[in-house]
Amino acid sequence: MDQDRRGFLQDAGKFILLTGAATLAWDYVVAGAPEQAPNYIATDHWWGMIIDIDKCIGSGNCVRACKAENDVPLEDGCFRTWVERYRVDPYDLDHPHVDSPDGGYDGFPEIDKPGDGMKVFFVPKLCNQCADSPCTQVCPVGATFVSPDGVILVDKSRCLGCRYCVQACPYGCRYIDPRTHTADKCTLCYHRITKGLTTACCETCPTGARQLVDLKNPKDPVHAFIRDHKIHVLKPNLATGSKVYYNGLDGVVR
Amino acid sequence: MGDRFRHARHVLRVGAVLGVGLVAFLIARWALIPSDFGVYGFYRAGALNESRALPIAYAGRTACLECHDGAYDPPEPEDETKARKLAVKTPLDPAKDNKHFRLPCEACHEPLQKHVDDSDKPVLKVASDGLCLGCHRTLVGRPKSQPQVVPADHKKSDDRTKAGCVSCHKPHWPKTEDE
Amino acid sequence: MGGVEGFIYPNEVELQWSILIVLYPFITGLVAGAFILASLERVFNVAAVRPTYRLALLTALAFLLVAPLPLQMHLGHPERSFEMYITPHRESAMAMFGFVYLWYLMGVLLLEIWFDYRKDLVLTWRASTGLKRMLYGALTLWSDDVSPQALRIDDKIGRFITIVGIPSAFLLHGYVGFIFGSVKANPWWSSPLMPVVFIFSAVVSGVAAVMLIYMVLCLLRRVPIDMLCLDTIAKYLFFAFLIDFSLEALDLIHRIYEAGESFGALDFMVRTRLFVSHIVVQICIGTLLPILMLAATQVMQFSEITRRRVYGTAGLLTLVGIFAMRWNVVIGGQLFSKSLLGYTTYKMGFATREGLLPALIIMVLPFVILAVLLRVLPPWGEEAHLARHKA
Repeated sequence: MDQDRRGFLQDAGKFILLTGAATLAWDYVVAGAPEQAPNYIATDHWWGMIIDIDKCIGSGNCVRACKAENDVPLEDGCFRTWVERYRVDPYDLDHPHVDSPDGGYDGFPEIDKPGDGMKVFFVPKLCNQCADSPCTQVCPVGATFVSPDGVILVDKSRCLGCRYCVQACPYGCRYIDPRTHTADKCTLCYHRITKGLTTACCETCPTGARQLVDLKNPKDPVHAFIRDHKIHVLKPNLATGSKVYYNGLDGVVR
Repeated sequence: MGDRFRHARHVLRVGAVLGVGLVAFLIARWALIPSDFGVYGFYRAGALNESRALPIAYAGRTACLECHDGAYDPPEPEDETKARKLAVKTPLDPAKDNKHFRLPCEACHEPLQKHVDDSDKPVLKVASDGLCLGCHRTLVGRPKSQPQVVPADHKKSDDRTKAGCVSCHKPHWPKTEDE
Repeated sequence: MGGVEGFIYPNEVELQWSILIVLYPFITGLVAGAFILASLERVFNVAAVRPTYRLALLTALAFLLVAPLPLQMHLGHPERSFEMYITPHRESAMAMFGFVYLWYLMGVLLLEIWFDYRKDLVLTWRASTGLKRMLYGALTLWSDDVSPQALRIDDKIGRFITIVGIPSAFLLHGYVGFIFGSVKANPWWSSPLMPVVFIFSAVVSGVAAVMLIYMVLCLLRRVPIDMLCLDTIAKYLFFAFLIDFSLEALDLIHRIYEAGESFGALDFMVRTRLFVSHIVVQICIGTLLPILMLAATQVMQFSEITRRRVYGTAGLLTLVGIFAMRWNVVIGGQLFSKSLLGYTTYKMGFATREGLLPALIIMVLPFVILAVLLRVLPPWGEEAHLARHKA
């Protein structure tokens, strides 16, 4: 009985305190989509991604989802994200065997048998959304840029297709769209994350190896993740300010 | 002084030609730079909105669960024996007992925003061995935490009329009674 | 995947910059080098090379007019290239192209040619009729002052423009070197030496080109070659080549000695996929051999005919070598993967937009333009012009 009355009083209190729009926002927060509230202020966010190598199973879901979500051409050489498989012989660390059949679109064929002695793991890759990005630095006309919320985008109506940005990216994440003859790359599903959704690759990852993070949000799990894991970025010596943080990235990964 | 300038008039003509060119360039520049260029940085601000307005293909798990919130509940037992087995066990909590609980719907189903927008559009059944094995076949490099099978060695159903992964494992509740 | 060896990032399968992008630095190099040769006489008073002064300027102009063509044919959207003029991204070396090119064309080369030729243009204007008269009138901007005072002013301005033109020529071609040299993602390109190497190889190629054109034109005009001029040009070519070779050798030695992260992958690439173009063509045939030939003419006494043949051959080999250098930089820099674990190949089409055929046409075009320029602006002075008219 006391339980019911207390519960009732709590509900009433909540109802009185949280009026109108706040109630609506509260519903969204509870539903796990806090940003779906109408106003998206770009400067409140600083987007990145965390990728846990220890969880990636090389399913290729992310590659397929990205191509479906973003209308990426299915042909060779057009990948906004891809998965690489590293096979390392512990006696020859300088020469890892790496393959990425069709970017991992159809998963990976079996090459090693368990017990072969190779160290094998999968590395999903995408645009690192660099804070000091070399690709936006070299664009001659300002057709590629860093958005106020830290996402690197391409303005397809201004891009000349000079390909300088493709040359300048150290990670090989850019390509020229053969249909529009302009540069293209992972946009961190900007059209989704600005509406409270997560990226297509994170959405379809079966093991949660990929997770979108907002570095400006104090409640985002990325801060605890960085604190509790040994994280790496790709090619740190190039000081690109990469915002894709890997857990469990072996030193042999290029 | 005047003498020097008298003989320098051709220089002034060149200067005039270059000057006209410069003015024409400045006018063209003023006319052609997009009005929203440089607002947030060295780019056309409209590009941000264009990027945001692109169509969405994947609805997201949250959207699916709004209507299908029982998707991860344990399936109805098919007969008395099984029902008794389930009743004996402690109450099932999908979050703890359903290995596929965290699996996003669209990890297996195709992009479903079209279905969310218009629920008359069907959600296709996608269960097939190829789909299951895509994540669950044994592949060197997959972490040990991932359940993996070699299909040839994996336990088959006793009933020879049944075939495929789903004959024992329901996609939304993959755990079999023997586990 | 034919031609791919090892592992390359999935997006690297196709080369981004084709033979057209090899041509662009080659052409602007010829422009800069030809201009430096012209400035030898105008600014540094090396009177011996006077016979090639105007020819060098016209050669520079002919190639400069063609220079934007390979770029336009390469761009995905050439119709948007004007954006480089209205919104140049100042952090990007490539954004400088529009302004450096325009400055060099309008502010340096055209002005210098105009001030040097003005007297001849006025005289031709006065002596012509009809369409030709209209053309030359326009070229002189309808000013016919050829008094000594005016000509003195022309000379002073011309000299000043040439002085300004030297750093401008270095800028025109040096920035191309910086475009490559500043890309930290590419270890084959990233080097502070890149702009300097580009400039000196430009000087070498431009001087060699003007020398060869001069020799060919003398042959066509059945006019004896000024051997003092030729010997002087060859001497400067030799010295420029020594500097260029030293710089490239320094880069190579430095890489081999330090043997950094990328060395293994690059070394393998040079030994295999780039062996012919780099070791054989660029270094042996295109650099060492012409240097040795030119050195021989400097230290030994050869007859005039032998010297002409040596210069001609060395000049041709030089041009081949400098072209190979551009090829090895541009194409070579894209043959290896940024993962440093694999290689791809360059598939050059023939009659495609960025294929061999357009490349050949682009290389022939400057000579066609030069032929026109030689008629409109004959380099061999008023006397020679009038003499030909009489005959």
